[in-house]
Amino acid sequence: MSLFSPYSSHGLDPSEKLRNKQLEALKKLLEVPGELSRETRVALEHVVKKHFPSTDVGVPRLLGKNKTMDSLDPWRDDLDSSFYDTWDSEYDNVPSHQEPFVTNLEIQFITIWKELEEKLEQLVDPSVSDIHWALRRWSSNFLMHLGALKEGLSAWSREIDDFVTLLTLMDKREEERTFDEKRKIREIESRIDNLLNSTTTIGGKRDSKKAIKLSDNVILSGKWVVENLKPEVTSTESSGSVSLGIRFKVGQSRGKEKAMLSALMYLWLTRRENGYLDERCFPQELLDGITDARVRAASRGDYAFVNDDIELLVKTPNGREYTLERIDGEVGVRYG
Amino acid sequence: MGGNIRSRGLMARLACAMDEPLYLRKEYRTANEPKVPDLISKSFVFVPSAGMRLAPEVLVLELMREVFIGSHSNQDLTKAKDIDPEERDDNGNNLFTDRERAVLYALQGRRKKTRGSTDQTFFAPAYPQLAENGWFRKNSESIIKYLLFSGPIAQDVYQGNHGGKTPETRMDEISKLTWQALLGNKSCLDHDLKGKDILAATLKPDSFKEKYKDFDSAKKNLVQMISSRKNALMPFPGDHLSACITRDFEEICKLEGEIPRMQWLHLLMTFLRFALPMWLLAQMRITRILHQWVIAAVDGEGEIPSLDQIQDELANRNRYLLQPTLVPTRELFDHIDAYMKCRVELNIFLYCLSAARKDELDITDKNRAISLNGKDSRHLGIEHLLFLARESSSQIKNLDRFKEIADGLNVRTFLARESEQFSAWRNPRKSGVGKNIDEFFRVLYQSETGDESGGYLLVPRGQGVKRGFVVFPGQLLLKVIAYLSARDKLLSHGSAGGILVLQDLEDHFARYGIDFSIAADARPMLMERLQSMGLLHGSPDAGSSVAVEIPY
Repeated sequence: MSLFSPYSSHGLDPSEKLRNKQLEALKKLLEVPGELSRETRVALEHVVKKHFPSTDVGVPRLLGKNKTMDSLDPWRDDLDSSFYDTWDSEYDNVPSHQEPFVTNLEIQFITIWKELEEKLEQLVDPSVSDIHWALRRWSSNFLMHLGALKEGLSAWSREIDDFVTLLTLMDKREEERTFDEKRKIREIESRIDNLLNSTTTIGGKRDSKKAIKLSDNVILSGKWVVENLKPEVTSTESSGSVSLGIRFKVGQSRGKEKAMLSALMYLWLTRRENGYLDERCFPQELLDGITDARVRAASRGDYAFVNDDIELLVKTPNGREYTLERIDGEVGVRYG
Repeated sequence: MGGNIRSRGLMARLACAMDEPLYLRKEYRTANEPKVPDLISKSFVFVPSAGMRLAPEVLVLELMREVFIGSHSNQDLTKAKDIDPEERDDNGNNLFTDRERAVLYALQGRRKKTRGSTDQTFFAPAYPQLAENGWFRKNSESIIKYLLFSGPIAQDVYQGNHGGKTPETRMDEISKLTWQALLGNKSCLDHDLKGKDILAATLKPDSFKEKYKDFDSAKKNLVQMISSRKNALMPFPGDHLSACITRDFEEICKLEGEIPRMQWLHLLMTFLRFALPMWLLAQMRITRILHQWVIAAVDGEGEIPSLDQIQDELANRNRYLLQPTLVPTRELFDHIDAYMKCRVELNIFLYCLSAARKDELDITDKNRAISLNGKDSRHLGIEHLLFLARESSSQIKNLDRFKEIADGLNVRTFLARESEQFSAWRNPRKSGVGKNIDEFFRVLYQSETGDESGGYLLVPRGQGVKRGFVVFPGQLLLKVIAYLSARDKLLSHGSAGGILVLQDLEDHFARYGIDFSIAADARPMLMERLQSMGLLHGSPDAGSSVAVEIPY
């Protein structure tokens, strides 16, 4: 069902009207006197009460618009100019015999397009240029994707390979990791840490210190933050997960606050670090989870009750700020 | 001769006025609608007045003042005054110290009054002493009193199921929790600053006045609020919404001292800005339900509901209040419009019923109120009211006014035609009570500025007649509900209840009237949001059984 009919993977009727009728009828089975076995009842309830796992599976999830394969379309990325030269419109680059990725179907397409272009040359009509444009756009779309397939291109390919390496690495037990692998993990931790700090702004200005934005106008900083709120990359607990876990180790609640580092977040992070991306273009919502986990970790770490090495910067609407500095339980207030 | 004509004209006008229904006379109507008769205003059907609360910060100010000062307004002054950290006295000296200003600024919020206006800044008083210099208008509606303490909390205290505890014991428990939380469990009540909350330590011990440390004084104010409408509660146990709001409020109070004061106050604000409007929305539904029954009864449509059905319907008034959706809807506006129309029509109906059946109902009787079962002569049971409506149908239709307006037609048509002359019915959100309710619900909206933490439920889209709302909770509201549903599960089932799963979160939202199970597009979004916040464990493919992390 997931393959041929993923839009109705329970096997009920695809027509909503009929499906509802079907569900109404099936509901009555739950009311039939006498005990149903647990398995049967659970299965039936899942379907009729709509408490079922996600049905966003199957072919559309992989091939649908804006789904997995679409987001890997190499066209979403910058392609090399030599690639365009080779594949933009040159029919002769497609081999005339079958080989991997080139079947009779592709060969036949080329023949058809060539014939259509020849036919077009015979046409005496003002709309020739429009037709030529439409035809070339059609064929080049096809040729470019065929070229990408043949050359093994996809969007984000390098970053995805790196991420997969990292996932594999995290699956290894700590004692089995080599020095290089450990260093690679430290690097990613440091990159995330830098990214979180570089996105801490207050009143529109960037704060270069290691700091946590607690609210719109309050920032937490100080030695305690530097020492206690480092991100740590972990593997996620869920089986088959393709995300990394990020956890913040604070005092007694070490490892308590977790967030996910998804592949998407990793890709953006890498792009930004490689200097391809202005930091203002970085989609902040991707970091919301990690930022939020860090604030939770700070709260769980009881920053408010720690007696030393805490600083709260409180911005006022007129652009000045109060600094609350805590030493030995006492709080000093500076205004500047 | 001329005198005779004048006196005859006067007599005619007088006679005309005598025939005029009560609700058209100025002593029984306001500028916008017929006056709500005591029959309603002294019963659980009554919907308390609401008023604009632009920012959640002002809800905390109101709460602090009601509990510690005994009033949201200043008894000596009529006008409202916002907290202003830079305020100076007549001699030009700052009213607040540097330390107090720093703490006030730490809890500032920004909101816009209208889309085009500039940001306005609001301040939540972190401790009671900071609430002394801000207050509400003398005649302004008391939201905290009517939509929290004498509303859901009173309903739960007097009618809830508490395993044999008396209302007095419950009131004492709730008062203690509220007082302790608002004063702060880690406040500087002595001179040792170690381990105290950084905001309290900033204010220093001398700032914490003795009068606020006095539990009895706070308890007096709280008991007064809780018991103020104890005779106008729904007389049955098992009201889900009031039990849920009370329990959640208690759990939030218990959390104080466990997390930093600043985070706790944001939690409290989020809870208040969510729970109070949802309670109001549910209360508004009672009028609509009663209106529906009354019309059906008087027009002879269907059977009159039994006492059990009435009770069941009232207890479930909190279900499906707002549908989570990513496509903007105007459901909230529809609720206000429908409520106001039903309110006007129901009131007119009661005036008419009284005119037709003076033997059974006197609308001017200040000592009679609608109740569930009409246990004594002071109360008019709903079932009795409906039977009375059904048997009085022809008498109502024989009233002069009825014949004049809708002769030969049904009561529903008469009420609609008669209500048209009231602006509260014609333009429910433009004036009077409807406008006030509409303004109060703005506290649910995501503000254009200063709402980054995400304590909102509604995200406004579009302008003017096309204005609608995406109904989807912000991050902070999700965290608050995740925490409260975890506490609820633990208290209801103990450790045997298992880990917190998405279904628990959805169930908790459903108790407040937000049902994710019927919203096709909202559930995947809920999962995605929780996942990005790091609160969802495991694969979303597990559906409603996916584990959720407890955020606090």
